[in-house]
Amino acid sequence: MTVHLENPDWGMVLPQLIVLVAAIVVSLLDAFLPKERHFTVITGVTLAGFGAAIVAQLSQRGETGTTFHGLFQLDGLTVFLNLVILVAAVLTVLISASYVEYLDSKMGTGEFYTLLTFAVFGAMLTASAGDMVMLYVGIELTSIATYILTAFAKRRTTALEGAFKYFLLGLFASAILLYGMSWIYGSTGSTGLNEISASLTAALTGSEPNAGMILGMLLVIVGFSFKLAAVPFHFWTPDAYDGAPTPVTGYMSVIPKAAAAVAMIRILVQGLESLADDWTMVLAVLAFVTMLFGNIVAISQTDVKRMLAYSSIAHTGYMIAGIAAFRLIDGMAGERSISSVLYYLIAYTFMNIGAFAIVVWVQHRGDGTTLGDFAGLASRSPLAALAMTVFLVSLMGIPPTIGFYAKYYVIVALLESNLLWLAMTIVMASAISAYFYLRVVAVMYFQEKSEDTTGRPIVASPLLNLGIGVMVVGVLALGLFSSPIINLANDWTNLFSVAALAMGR
Amino acid sequence: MEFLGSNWIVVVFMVVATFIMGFAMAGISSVVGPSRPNKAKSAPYESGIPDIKPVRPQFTARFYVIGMLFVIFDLEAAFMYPWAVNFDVLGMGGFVHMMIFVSLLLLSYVYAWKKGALEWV
Amino acid sequence: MDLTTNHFLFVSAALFVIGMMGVLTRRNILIVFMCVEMMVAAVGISLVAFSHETATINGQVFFLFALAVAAAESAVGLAIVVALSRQGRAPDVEEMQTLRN
Repeated sequence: MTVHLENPDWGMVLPQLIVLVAAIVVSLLDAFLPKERHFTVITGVTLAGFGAAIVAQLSQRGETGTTFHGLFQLDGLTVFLNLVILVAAVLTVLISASYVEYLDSKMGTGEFYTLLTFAVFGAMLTASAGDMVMLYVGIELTSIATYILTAFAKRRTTALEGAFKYFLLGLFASAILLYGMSWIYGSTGSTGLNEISASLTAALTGSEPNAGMILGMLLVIVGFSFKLAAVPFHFWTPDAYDGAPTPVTGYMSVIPKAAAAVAMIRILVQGLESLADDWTMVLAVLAFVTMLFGNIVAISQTDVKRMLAYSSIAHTGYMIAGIAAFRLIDGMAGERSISSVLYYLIAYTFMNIGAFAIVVWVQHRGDGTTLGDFAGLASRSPLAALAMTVFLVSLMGIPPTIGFYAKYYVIVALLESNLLWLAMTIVMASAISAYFYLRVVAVMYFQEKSEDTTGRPIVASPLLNLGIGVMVVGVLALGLFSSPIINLANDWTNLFSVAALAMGR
Repeated sequence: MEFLGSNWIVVVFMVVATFIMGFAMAGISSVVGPSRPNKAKSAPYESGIPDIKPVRPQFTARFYVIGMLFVIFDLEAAFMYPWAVNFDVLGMGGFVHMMIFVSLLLLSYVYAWKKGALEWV
Repeated sequence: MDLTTNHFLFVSAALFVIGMMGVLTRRNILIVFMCVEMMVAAVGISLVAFSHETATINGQVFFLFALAVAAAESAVGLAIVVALSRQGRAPDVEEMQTLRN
């Protein structure tokens, strides 16, 4: 007897392969290249790898299919999420290049980019997983690389402490996630998402869900809430964000979060769609608590990095609210829910990495990250202050920036699913958030710094300025031209459900 | 699923009961139990013997690096067992797949070597 | 008495919760790591039990991958402990208080 091994469709995994090869090449370059050429060559190779992957990913739009025995699937969601992740990765490289080389106890450039590329590879695997095994491996690859990146400035006490807390709670969360997955597997008899969906639909026609499924669903939601930093599972977030090198904080708030969000969408929407009545309830409550808590605690922060950490908790809340809008009404799912989350992820990528980029820029002058360090930024460097204002206004959600449209689409999705109270909460939470975002703007424009540091040299590489420029343009342009993107997201998520329909049921 | 059908309620009961029991044990002991911490008790080594010198790694740091590498490479070997057991039925395809895996391991070995992680200075 | 899948699930649930209690109450970092490893191993028991019950191989494959992930995690954990001890800090959870609110 010979077992037939499926010949995998390598073309379908091309973007992921490119990133994997880039990661391996970067790590070998790090080992073999003389130290003084690391900065130029490795930054170049990393950017080239991400760029090539973006091109390969763009050429796959509109295609669907599965390969590697269903471990791997390609659909609209895969393409969209991978593009978001890759763009976020490129922006991270742009803002971290000179920071890694010159600041924060001079971290090793080669190791930094190796870990970053592997983390991006893990996130891309998560986005294209068709099976819980692949989902778990992908999300853990991202998390493990992120733990190390958090601890990267290992001579700083706070770095290790933040990384330690993040690591411990992350480990705990992944054990809970794994237990949840094992219950889902046990009560449906498969780890493939489409098979789970089919088996559940068959089991649930005319009968109540059994407790094994519900237990699995709840454990999986708890596990992802840890990874997404949703209240009440957010304890690690402020410390880890504070301790990590600032570019890493920007990266952490986007790529692992996007990976966790897409994993949640994959399992809950694709696998457990029949239980949507149950999990949308849980997510709605989670979103409510997360939005209010994140925004209220952010008010009392005096450190900009910590303030942004709490604000990122609040933004997690808005995203979860978007997923919660997937509520079934008369058997029909909320159509705009998933696409609103996708749009939110794009918006969040640009505005949050942008805000952290300005913090990086300020640190390049030798300043710290407290509010006092931002005082008088407008008179010292008007352009940086203006860019920061754009990002903060976008985070607050004021038109015509991208942040406004992101919230708008989530609210529309919520209203269509009759979740008026959650939509009201978003509006209220945004109103609260105006206080602490605007306070930074006020400090930048109307306060003077106690110690004059204007004369200090800035050793920022032009890449940082380029990155900030790209993000300012992105925040404004993608906001003004939001309808093509949301339509694209809508089309692609439809494609995703069509693919699931064709293969699963 | 048939086996869960009538019995799953027992399983769920068990999970709930273990949670309650675990939390109750920790909770009651922290409420009722006397708490008189002293220096020796709260030392990181919970034996109660006071530290006679600062907490330092007992082994050289090299040992930990080798230990980490061992843990990782050791477990990768676990992936070869299913392949080795079914070697004859998997044929050429299985061989090629496993060689890809092994060559990736080899690359990481070269990386560790070149980085000096294997040197015992 | 025959051993059924449910017995294995009992053991797995009990081990999982014991590990969880350990994570929440222990102070020594290394013991906390061991407790997390115990939680993963507990899940392993339930995965293999489910695999036997549903007569599918997926659960066993899943556990193989979960083990590899757990090994990588413990290597990272060890690295963090070594870095902490190089700063002269005790491996104690309650010492981690430099960062607050």
